[in-house]
Amino acid sequence: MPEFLNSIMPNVMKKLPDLWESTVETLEMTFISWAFIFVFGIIFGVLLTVTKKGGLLQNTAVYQILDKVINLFRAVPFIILLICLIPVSRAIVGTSIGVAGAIVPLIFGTVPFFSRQVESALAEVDPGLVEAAEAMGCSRIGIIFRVYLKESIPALARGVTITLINLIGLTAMAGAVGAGGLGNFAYVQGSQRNMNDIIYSTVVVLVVIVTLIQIIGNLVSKKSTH
Amino acid sequence: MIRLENIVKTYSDGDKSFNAVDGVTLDIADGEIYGIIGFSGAGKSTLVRCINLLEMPTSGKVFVGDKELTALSASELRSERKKIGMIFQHFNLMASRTVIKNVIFPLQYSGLTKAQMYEKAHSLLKLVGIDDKADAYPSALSGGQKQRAAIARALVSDPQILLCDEATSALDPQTTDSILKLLKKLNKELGITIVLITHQMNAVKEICTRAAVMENGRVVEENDVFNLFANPQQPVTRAFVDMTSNLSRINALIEERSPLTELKKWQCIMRFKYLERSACEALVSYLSRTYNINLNIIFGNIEIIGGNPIGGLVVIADGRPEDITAAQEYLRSINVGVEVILSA
Repeated sequence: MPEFLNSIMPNVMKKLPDLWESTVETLEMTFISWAFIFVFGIIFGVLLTVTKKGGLLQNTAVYQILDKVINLFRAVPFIILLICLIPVSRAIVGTSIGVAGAIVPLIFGTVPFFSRQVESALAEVDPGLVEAAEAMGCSRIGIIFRVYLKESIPALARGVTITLINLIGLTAMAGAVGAGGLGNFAYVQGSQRNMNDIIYSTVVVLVVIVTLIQIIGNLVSKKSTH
Repeated sequence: MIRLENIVKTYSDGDKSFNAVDGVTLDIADGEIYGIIGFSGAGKSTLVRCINLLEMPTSGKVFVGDKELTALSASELRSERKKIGMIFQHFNLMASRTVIKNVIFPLQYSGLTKAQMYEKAHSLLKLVGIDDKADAYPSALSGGQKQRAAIARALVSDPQILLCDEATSALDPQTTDSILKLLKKLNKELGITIVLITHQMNAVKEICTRAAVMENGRVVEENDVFNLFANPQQPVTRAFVDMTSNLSRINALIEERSPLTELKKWQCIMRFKYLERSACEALVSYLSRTYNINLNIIFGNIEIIGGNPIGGLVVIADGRPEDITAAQEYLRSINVGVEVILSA
């Protein structure tokens, strides 16, 4: 077996520890930034929903500002965002390189996308349910958690899946500017040195991660749909 | 129990504005089943939402019990709303929760323990007849069962009032009937005041004690249900009453020149309407014996509303003109409305 693997991907076999380390870095970048993206995305998605015209806490000013800022950040290409956010990253985490340096741009690049996912998931909640909860004397905060968020779990699970997979794609790009991870490994060790088997190996690892996330996402969505 | 004073609800879109409810004053007594009927767009759903202030009236006052709801703060209003149950046309059950979890939804943070909540919810599910569905999700229920679950949920915080917004409009006739019976039973057993919004005259006829007819945001007619059916005053009320009876179908038959309406000599088509509580008498046999006329019934519609029979007959009368005139006079004397629709 080792002989066979050595014959088809000699360069990868020499750098197996590096491949493992890069994988761990990618997962670190993904899940550390995800913790923030999830919290902010839910907050902004809920705010967009309730401050909208006819919403629970209608507030045109908040809605318009949030809506425009989200559009702005979604319009900027991620590679530009990476560079523009170097000073911000230095100010917040003290460095703009490595895994830590990638976290801030990943958050700024993904929160707007996830906020829209949350907004569209909440938009699927039947306004009749909100009305019924109001008629029962449920508070506004109660309606947000017990009706909007609870009732849209299947749709939220789909939004989380899409966002996480998107996020992994972005970590690879962050890798290209010195953040480490599989993207960096593929670019520096594979592409620049003409070692194609390294590039292919990172693709295989990413496919496995993406597939796992999709399977878990589908499962959660299915289990929570009644 | 409920008093609405000059309620106006205006929606405006740019410079156009529209009064969905236009100056409605209503008094609904404790323990009553009060119907509000009207065609789509008459403003009845908006009006019922003004009772628990899901819609804040543009002007006017809402009293429930001895409290003026329109004068309460947001949090006081929330606690008052718990005393007003509401059910909807599309049930509005939470799809992610089982039936029992839906029913205890209003009880969260009420200070009850979990066990007390479940006990209460189960007793209500028994009352509405679906305790066996407690652990099912709403998607597994039929329309009637969903509405029963919604009724249990509406009753779980012991309200004094139940608002029903087109609660039977999405159900088939049999299920409608069973839900109406359930509402009547709840009214009797719990003494709960029910406000029923509907466009189905049958629902009003089945269970209401009094009713208001709405058109263009106004209440055009209000009466106890028997009088509403016996003496409809407004064209819209008459339209609703006609919907529940087949007595006006004779006009269509005459227009179509149906063979049934080809009259021979000495025949005429008449419509009898029982105006007062007089429908129990053996009218047809009495007329034929006393006045020697033959009566052929083509349409008949007699219903029991508020415990009293109401309705009428369409007949082809066959007899000498003087006998028919005498029979008509007799009928008028006992307060039966007579109308000759066609004579040979």
